[in-house]
Amino acid sequence: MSEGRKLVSIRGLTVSSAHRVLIKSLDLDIAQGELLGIAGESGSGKTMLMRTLLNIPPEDVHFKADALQMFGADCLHLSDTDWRRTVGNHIGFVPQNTMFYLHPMLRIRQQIADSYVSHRKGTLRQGLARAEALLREVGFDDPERVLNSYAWELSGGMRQRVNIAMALMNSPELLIADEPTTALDCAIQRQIMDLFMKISRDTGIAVVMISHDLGMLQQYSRRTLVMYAGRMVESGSTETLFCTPAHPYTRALMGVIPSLSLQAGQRLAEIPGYVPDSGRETDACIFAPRCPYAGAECSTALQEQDLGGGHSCLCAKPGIGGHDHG
Amino acid sequence: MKKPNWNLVLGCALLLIVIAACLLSFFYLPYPPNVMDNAHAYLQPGQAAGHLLGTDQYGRDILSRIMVGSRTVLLIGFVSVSGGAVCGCVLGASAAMIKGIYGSIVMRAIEGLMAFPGTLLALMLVAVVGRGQWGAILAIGIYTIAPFARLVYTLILESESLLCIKAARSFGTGPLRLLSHYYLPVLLPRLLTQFSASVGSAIMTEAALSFLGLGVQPPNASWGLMLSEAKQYALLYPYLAVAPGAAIFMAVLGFHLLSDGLNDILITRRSEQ
Amino acid sequence: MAEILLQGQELVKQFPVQKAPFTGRVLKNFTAVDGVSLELYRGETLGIVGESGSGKSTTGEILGGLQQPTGGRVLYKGKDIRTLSRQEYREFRRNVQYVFQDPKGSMNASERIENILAEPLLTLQIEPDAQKRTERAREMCSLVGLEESVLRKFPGELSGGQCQRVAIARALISEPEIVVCDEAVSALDVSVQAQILNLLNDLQKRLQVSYLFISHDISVVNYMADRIAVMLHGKIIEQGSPEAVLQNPRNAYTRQLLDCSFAKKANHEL
Repeated sequence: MSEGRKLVSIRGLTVSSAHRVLIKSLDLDIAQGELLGIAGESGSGKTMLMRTLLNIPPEDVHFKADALQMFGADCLHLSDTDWRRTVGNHIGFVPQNTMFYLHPMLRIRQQIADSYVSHRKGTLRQGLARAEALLREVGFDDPERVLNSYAWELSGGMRQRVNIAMALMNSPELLIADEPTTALDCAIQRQIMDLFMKISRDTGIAVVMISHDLGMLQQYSRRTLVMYAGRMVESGSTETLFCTPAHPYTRALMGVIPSLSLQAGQRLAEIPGYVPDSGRETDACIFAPRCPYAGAECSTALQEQDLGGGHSCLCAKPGIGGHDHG
Repeated sequence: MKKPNWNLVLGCALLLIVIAACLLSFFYLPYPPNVMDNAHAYLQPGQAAGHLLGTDQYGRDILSRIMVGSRTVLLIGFVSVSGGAVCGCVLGASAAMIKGIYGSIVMRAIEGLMAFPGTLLALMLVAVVGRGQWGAILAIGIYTIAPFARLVYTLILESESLLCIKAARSFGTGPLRLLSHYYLPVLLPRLLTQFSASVGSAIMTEAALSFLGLGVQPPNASWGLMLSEAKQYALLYPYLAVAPGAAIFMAVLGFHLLSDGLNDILITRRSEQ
Repeated sequence: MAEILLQGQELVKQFPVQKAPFTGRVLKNFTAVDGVSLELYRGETLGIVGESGSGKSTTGEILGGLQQPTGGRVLYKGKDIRTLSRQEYREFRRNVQYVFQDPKGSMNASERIENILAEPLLTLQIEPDAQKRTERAREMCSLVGLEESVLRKFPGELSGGQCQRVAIARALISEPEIVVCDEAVSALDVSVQAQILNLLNDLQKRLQVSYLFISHDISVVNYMADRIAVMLHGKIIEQGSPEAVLQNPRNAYTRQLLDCSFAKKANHEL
């Protein structure tokens, strides 16, 4: 499974706010150069996971972990400043909201080199030269014009490309994309995803895609993790996961998408109930209340089951109900 | 863990003192405020027993005059701002909802009103309306209309593009219901904040008017008037000016801090949700 | 022959983007809707699919009377809605309801759910008695699968899916003939989407409502609609049954939409 050294290694991460647990006992490895997809709906904790990694948690949220290694540094014992420096030097982040990073009152050239200058001690001129080169790489024929534009003069797809270029400024080893295509039109979505693939091929950067769009993850990631209510319920190579999903939630998720071959009049498969906000600290299976196969063994402490070939599942009865779905 | 709201705390503390003095003045005054006693004139604060803040040039007890003055000041402040707020809200709301030529005329008039500095406007109005307590109230009330009208007008126009307003229109909600059920809950926090700030300004303006002899007339007590009477003796007996000055300072600062504090709780927190 | 409930004839909507500085004369326009003609029959679901900027939401709002078209006209049961009397207009308003994309944003955040649900009954003057209004609200609540405890809560306390159920209940409480669903499921998670789509279909069977279903997601429109119209740059470029439009798209843009969407769907359906 490892295509190289481990860039990020997390063990037993538990994130909680003042009132409740958000993420429980999460393990995560990101290897060099890999294409990882993190699938989950709202409330699954994927955003909180990402914010913890980047060390920008919300005000009242704190975490604890057994181990948190990033790029060779032990982040549990690093000061805030050092952690921030590690993140800034090694991670590039592409947000969902394309205007997130871009100051509406400054031209692109006045902001694109900020991180470069503050982390790399390169001069502004070097930064802008690199920016121009990167803008060309992400597909702009006329980088000068883009550099002189304001963020609101660009379309959503163009802004996302600028975000990607900005994320690449510091030559990161890891690119994290949070729902990078949700706000974009269909055709543009494909272009952006193809761009991510091209970047990964050319530079060997690891790309982590966080999304609720299973179809997109299936096409573009090589390994996929599925999150539900703050836990990682299944992980494995994309091929294995999509062909033979073992966790009932993963199967249910694939079944609820209205496919183009579905007959009108046929009901869509539903997952009854809602994602639980509270009660996540329990050791038992958190999906059990909504699971059609739940039984007595599901209310005892769960262990992660290794199904071979890098495929693992947090379920007392993995693979139950067969492998057909929908 | 959360920072205490110092604006609110300090503002309330200052106002508590002022309001306590005002309320107390109805039940107990150390000395009758308008009675002159030349035998005990120019007493320094604490010099004689009973005169905590001393006496003025006519032997009147300063503390008593301050306490009585607080009544006038608070009355003028609240009444004028309330009147101005009501008029301003009605004008602003009607301009925003009716729009058209009526809306344009009203808002241009309001903007014209805002072009004058408050105190200057008050002076002009008092010249027309007449001196004294009620003249001051009317003058200050008129110039308070403008900020409220603007606030209501811009807020309603902003909110019109909100989805819930569009949805409300889709099932036939009329303008009056929109005002009472949709706009008002959003307006209320801002109105409260503006009210508090306006009372602070009103007190300031009243002090200025009384200082110039256009507000409360002697022998009645008003802090501005006390300052005016003290200005002749400021070099010889500075304490004559300190007490009323401090009172004005506490009241105005108190209301403005309260306004900021309310702003922090009501508005900033809401917009973070 | 099914009755035509709502009809748009050559609808045009233009927004001024540039005005002369002093005279205010409009120099440049942006045409959001450019000559759109549509019919909605009783009991059917008409789907409008298009990307952002295609004019589909504006068309939906014009058809429901929330926006005035710059050109063309909207006919409700054969009559131009601009010529309706007060009484007739109230009938029209009562019979055309909306469910919007942002469930929480479409509700008054300072009111309780039971008041939000009952509001159309009050403003459309359907039920003057407050007690009876609350009764109806309770009925609708259980009709859309929500517990009664939801009634006393505020929109901020509910999830997106629950709020959208309330929005649907509110749209149906006046017993309309037409509900315009403007990207009604786009902001919801996939699993919640399925619940809401199933609910919409169930309610349609029970209450014989027509839907004008607007979405950018072609697979959702395909699932919901009896007829589909594809919009691009304010024009309808293709119209017909889902099989006709999606199996044999005549237009290159429709084909592109399909390719995109199909490629994204999990390949396990192959």
